[in-house]
Amino acid sequence: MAIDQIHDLQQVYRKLLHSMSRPGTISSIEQETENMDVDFGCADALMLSAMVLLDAEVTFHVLSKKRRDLIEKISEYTSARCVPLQEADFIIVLQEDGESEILEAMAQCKIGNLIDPQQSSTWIIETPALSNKGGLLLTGPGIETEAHLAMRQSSEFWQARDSRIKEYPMGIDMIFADGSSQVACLPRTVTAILMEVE
Amino acid sequence: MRAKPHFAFFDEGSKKEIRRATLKAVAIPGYQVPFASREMPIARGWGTGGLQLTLSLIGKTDVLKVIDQGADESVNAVSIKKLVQETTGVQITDQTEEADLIQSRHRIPETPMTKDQILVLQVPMPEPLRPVEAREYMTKRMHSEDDYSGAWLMLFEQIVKYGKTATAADHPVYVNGRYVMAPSPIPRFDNPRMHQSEALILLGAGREKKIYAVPPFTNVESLAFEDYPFAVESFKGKECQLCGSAHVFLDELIDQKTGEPVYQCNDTSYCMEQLNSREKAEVESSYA
Amino acid sequence: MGYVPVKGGTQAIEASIKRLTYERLKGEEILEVNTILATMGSMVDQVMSESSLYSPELAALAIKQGEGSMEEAVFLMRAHRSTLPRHYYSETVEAETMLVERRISASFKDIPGGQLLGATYDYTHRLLDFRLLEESMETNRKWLQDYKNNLLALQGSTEVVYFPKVVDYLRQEGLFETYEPDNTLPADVTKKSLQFPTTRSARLQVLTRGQTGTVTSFGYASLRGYGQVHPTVGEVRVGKIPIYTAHPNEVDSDPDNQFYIGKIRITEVESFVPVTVKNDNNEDELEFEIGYGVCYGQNETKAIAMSILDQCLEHPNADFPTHDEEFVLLHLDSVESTGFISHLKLPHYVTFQSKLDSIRQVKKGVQEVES
Repeated sequence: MAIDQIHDLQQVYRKLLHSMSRPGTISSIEQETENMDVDFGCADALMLSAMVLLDAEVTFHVLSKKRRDLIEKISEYTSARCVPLQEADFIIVLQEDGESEILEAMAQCKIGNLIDPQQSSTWIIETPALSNKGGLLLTGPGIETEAHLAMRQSSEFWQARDSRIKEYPMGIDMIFADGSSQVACLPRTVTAILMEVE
Repeated sequence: MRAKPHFAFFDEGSKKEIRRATLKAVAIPGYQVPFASREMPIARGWGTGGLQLTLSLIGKTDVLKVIDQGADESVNAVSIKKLVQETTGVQITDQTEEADLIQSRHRIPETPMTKDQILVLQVPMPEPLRPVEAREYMTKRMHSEDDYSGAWLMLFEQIVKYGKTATAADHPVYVNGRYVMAPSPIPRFDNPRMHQSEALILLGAGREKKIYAVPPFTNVESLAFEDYPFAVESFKGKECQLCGSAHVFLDELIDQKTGEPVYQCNDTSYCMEQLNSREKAEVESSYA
Repeated sequence: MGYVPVKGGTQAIEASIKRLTYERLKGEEILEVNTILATMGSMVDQVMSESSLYSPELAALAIKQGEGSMEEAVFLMRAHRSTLPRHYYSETVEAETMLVERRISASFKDIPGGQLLGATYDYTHRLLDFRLLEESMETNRKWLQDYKNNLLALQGSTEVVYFPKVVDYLRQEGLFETYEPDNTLPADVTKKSLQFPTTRSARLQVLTRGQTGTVTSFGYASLRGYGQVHPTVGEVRVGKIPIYTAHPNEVDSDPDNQFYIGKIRITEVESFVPVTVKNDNNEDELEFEIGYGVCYGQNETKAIAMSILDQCLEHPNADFPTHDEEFVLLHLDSVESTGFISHLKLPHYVTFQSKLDSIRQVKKGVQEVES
């Protein structure tokens, strides 16, 4: 693994922070993913985001039941522990995951509590190509007026998200990573309305 | 055997924990996220929270500015800059426009910040309700229940006693319409700069072990009653004796000779820039 | 031409640091780290305990660098600790495995294993010994030789002796409850900040890391009526305990496969505290509970005070400050308390200007609204 544990991860963190502070902003981490010399069987940007955030102090869950290899790789590279969905600090979703699994997971994942809303899960989701054309209309903190983000999730997905963020400050935060080393983030504070039905 | 310091002092595990807390803070504007808060080579109470944020953010190509009470040359700011530079080798600047990371104690720079900059504020007491409730156990619950009667009562009592609110710096603010937040001991003058800012603002309290954030373009309203609106410090009729600026936060100094009060820009690099651009204009106009 | 900032601050700091170095060097004496290790063990122990970092060599270096200031030495150690990656946790230590150097009990005249006084200042008379002004290596060596010769003449045991816990004797009698082992993972307050209400493991950690003076004073306050704990020292033991750690990736925890990584010297105190509980008939009954204290190195006063505060915090009571966990736990830490006190020396002129403005406005009786 030729990733620089100090400098590459710092750069990726800055991009994630930038995108989380300005929902809808797509950041490129291509310079950093170029340094990866191992194929994890998922988008490089997803794995790199996981490496920035996971370590022995946090837990994760991979939705897909068919990816033991990914679970082992993540544990090996980050020392994070794989736990059942309801306990996981980080939830990893791959493009191949079925919609019903995703919706059920969203209904069961941690959203924190009123006293400690930060004890919620962060989702790292592999998506098809991210773009700012059409798709979702985003408003909320971090966005000057409105922003647009397209990432091809169904309206059920957004409804499921709505139901988990409506009791703000409890909620879930999302990091999207596509196959071209782009990332975008949606914190729980952002209202996302689907403009076009795919 | 002298060990070479690790880049940005901390081991990567410590940085990760701070980074996770920071992302949560951005997702819950104004809410104090607890974090482990490592000891630093600089004393608690001297900016370790801000420093931990800066060190978790900083990379080789960043340009850093550090100020204390508005001054780049304040001994505390110099000390912090020294530590960061010794452990990272990054470029240091006094000019607000040149920096992309600005760590500050008790002031927001006069020059408006941009989307390419991050402001890190040092916080001594992150809990805005602490003056009315000593127990963390209780204040956590007040925040969870959106129960800010204590903060309002504090302001109300001041009005009853003094005829107006008498907070000095660190006047509490409502963030994103949900959390009451301590903006850090910036003067009231600076509170409006937090509202719908272009830059991300991060706040770190090292000793109290809390990180919180105001994302860009977020509503930040200073607490006030309708009939007693929020008022900033007044410098009416006063201007900087060096550069002549009038609508900035001014330091009051005593003139050595006359014993009279005189005023000077608190933001020293802003003052410098005003003087230099005025001089440049004068030079240019004299060649016109 | 142009205006450039005056770099007064940088120059002043450099001059200050030089002056500090001068103060340490001007006497033209060098204090060796080995000397500190050999002759200032108590200070080394206190520094290790308050910094929560067991390394006598590093503690001695910190003492040398800080010129004997506890505040500085602990600060140096803690800052160093921050740079060390945390890879593993050790296995639970059984204090019964201690190689005891000193072991006493105030609860009984005689205990199984006996009262082993060991090395302590408790029985010395605190009279300044002026002979120490002119110590000679030759005299010391002779004293050491005589001492060793006397030891040879004694009948020693060739077996390693483990001392049973005094409390076990009372457990057998049914006077102390025997609890099922609770293997809940303890908190780590250096990885996750203290949250209220706290768990006992978090409290014990904060207490053991606490400033010796503060822990002692709070324990003292409790004894004098600002607390409700009336302890009898059941056992104080000082000695070395072995530390083991398991392989991080191994699921099986077979003790035979654990790694021995060394031994550390600790002080452990178990205080016996009578408490009122409700029995099955809902009547008040007296029972004993244990107040627990433990520290790196030989720190008996602190460990005893810690055991008192442990019991105080097990029984929250709003009427007594030493039973208030926020009051006790948030003010024990050396780095935090000294840091915040000393931060008052930092410039506060902006906040002061703000206060001045507030007070002036109030005096004027005028509300100015600035747009």
